[in-house]
Amino acid sequence: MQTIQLNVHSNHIDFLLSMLQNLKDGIIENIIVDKPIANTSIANSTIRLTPKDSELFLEALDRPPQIYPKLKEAFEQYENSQIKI
Amino acid sequence: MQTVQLDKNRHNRKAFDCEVDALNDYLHSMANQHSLKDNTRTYILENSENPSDIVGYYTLTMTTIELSKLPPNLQKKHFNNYSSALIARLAVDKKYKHKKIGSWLLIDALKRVLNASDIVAFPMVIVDAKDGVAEFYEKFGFSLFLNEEKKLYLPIATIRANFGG
Repeated sequence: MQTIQLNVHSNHIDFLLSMLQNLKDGIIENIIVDKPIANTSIANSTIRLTPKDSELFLEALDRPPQIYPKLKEAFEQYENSQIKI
Repeated sequence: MQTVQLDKNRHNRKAFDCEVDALNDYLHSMANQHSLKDNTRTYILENSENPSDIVGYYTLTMTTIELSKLPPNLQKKHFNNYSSALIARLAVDKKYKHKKIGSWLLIDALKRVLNASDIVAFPMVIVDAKDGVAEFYEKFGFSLFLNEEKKLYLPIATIRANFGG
């Protein structure tokens, strides 16, 4: 199994998204980089991305939706009818 | 506490005052007409001891999604979807400020939106925040559309996950 380390420029998002959307559980297997990608380095490691691009890729990999504490708390208060008029 | 659809014969619309003219005017004179024409639905939180007294309200309808103003991952995910729920208005009477009624109404609205999306699928809810209230929605996970200062969205999947669905 080949793993890759990429520093992703936003111009490459489309290409990499199409590649990564076929992955399961974030495991990279038999990846062939079929064209040169500027600012890209390949190493024996897991994917490394800028924080912004990392978020995009995790979404593309069907990461579970984010939990927002305020939203969850407000929902629980709603369900428990803790607000009185 | 529960919300009910606006009933002009039951609710004293004219007495409602949230200190924002546009939101007051809408409830006073337009909400009922829009509902009769099936353009919007307005839901009222009544004072439990005096149902004619309106504590707060929100209005729901549908709108279109400007896909180009979403992050690339959401553009890809929803590339052929253009419809979204819209929380068009949400307001609390000044007598009931600072009691977390706004949060309660927002959750109530999101629950209705989530139920509707289970029947007729759409991918997100949008809100057009009035001046200074975008931060209120951001606290609950809403994100601003690209290059927008008042228009925010929240994916249905996020609502479902946070509501334990």
